[in-house]
Amino acid sequence: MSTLLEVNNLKTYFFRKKEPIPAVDGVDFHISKGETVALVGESGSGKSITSLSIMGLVQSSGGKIMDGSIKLEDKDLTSFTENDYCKIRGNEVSMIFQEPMTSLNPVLTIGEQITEVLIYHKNMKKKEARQRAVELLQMVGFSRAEQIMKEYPHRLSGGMRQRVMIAIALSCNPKLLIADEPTTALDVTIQAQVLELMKDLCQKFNTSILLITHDLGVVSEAADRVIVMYCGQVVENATVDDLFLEPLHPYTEGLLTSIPVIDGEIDKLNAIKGSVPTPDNLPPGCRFAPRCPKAMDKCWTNQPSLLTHKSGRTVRCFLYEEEGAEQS
Amino acid sequence: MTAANQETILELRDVKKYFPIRSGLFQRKVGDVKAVDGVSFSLKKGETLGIVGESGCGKSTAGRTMIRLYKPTEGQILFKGQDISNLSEEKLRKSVRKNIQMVFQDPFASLNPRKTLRSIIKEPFNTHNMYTMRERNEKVEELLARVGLHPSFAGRYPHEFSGGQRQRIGIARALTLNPELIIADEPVSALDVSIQAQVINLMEELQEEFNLTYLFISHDLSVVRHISDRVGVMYLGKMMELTGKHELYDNPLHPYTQALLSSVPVTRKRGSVKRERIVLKGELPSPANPPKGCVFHTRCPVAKPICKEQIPEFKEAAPSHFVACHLYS
Repeated sequence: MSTLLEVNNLKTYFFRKKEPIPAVDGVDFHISKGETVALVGESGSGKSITSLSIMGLVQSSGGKIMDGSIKLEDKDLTSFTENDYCKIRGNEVSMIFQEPMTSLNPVLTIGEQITEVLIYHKNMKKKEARQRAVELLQMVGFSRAEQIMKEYPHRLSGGMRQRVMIAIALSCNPKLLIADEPTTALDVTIQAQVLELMKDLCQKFNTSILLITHDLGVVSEAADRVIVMYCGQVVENATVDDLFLEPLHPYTEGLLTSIPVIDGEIDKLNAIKGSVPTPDNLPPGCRFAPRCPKAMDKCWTNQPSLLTHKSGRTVRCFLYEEEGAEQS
Repeated sequence: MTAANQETILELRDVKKYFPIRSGLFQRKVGDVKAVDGVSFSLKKGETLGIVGESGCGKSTAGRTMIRLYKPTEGQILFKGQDISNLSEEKLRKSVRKNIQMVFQDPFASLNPRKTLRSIIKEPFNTHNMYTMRERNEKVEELLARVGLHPSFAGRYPHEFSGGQRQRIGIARALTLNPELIIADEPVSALDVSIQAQVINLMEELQEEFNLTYLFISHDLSVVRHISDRVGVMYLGKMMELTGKHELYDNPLHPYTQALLSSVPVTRKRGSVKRERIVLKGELPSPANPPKGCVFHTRCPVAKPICKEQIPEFKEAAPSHFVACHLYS
């Protein structure tokens, strides 16, 4: 499979009183064509900022990409101007946001919002765009698509709005779909519908998905590969099967054992002590050291780098340094 | 914890809570939102009853009606045998409120931002005129320490704390009056997973220490399975199924429970069998205009003609396994 997106050493900083706050601090990963990659982490881990950096949306909220590159096929997105971005947003890369309640324009009908994208990117005539919009709505499971075209967002429920968002996001057959917590605000039965739908559509159009979520159940159902983030850094990168079978990083292990499971019993949940440090107050050594049950002396002073473990998985932890050295 | 032969602490008998819909010039009543529509169950001392359901199913309204934040439209709420459904506010405060407390979902909205932790946690003592000033302050520090916060935090304001810490404050506040029953409405759903586990563990420890009874309302089926002894499933204001948690999760009878359980994504180990997922069609109907007959028949994969006509009775299909479905009558 060829690589679609490659992110290298991405650093996105925000500034408060000229003090840099490293929200994303050296993130590397790639997504192949047709692959679904999940970006997992708790709030404050930088997963959403990573996706906004790819979409070129951090500048407007005061952030700045300090270093690194984002390559979409052969284009370097970090050198893009706002005008360049307008050509690819919605067309080659599109995004589904977390809040279906706030991400649609409340004063435009659903029809107007879908046709807008088609008219802008595909140069369609209004009539043609309308026809395509109805098809898209049918594709995402609306039986009365014609009526839905005339409705305003407040008339639809959360699940319906999220499906409209998916229809808009897929309207131009993008190469990459970024889904930022697409099902978090939805009920489980509706979540199942939306996940099923995303899977079907992506198989049909060979779209790659970057799925951002904190729900490990969703990851296990929908993703091929998982990237675990903590405090703006990638701490582990593995296939779904490997990660759930044998988590390497103590943080990943903590995450997996802290969730109650529906098909079994755990006597006591294994809570990770403490809480995520804020990006302006990071520990000097490994960022997970203060919460890590396996922390060693050097973890408090030295920052581990991302090591390649056997079987091609990467992990940022001193525990695997020895094995990594043997490998190379 | 075995709660089988313990005393009943709270009992609901066919409780209904309707909210009127008003419209027009004179704000005449034109209909009802049937948020809770005939729910009966009982809570035994020391047990945890989980209530699950999708948003809009009435689980929060049921919780709030139980503590009499809402006055039920119909039906009886018996707290230790006493009917509290019609008590006045004053009588409630004197006899009931001390014994039933609530933990709310949003730890950012449920604490007064202008008050220090000390005055937030102390307030119930003031209301009920308990202890001297000094004792009150000592109690506050004791409680803070018990929920895992440093007693020196008492002088700080809520905004200085993270979500998980605030939820601990909410729990400390609920514990001030030594209640017997705590109604927890989605207490962990606003928290990150690693913090969620801390709060769940804390609630379990406190239950053992103070012999608390919990009513745990949540949409997260895995969390409810972990913490509860018995679980009730609600849909459109009605209880669909209620039984012990092992029975419910291993052998769900109601088609809605089956669909609900199958739609929860699970972390799957390599080689394990993929479960058959029942994807429900459509959305939750509006509680202002619920379907006739069984409220679930519009989305039910196994609906029969009788389901459109008759409301199924909520009855015991197997020993202590209650279900409201025509398949089992």
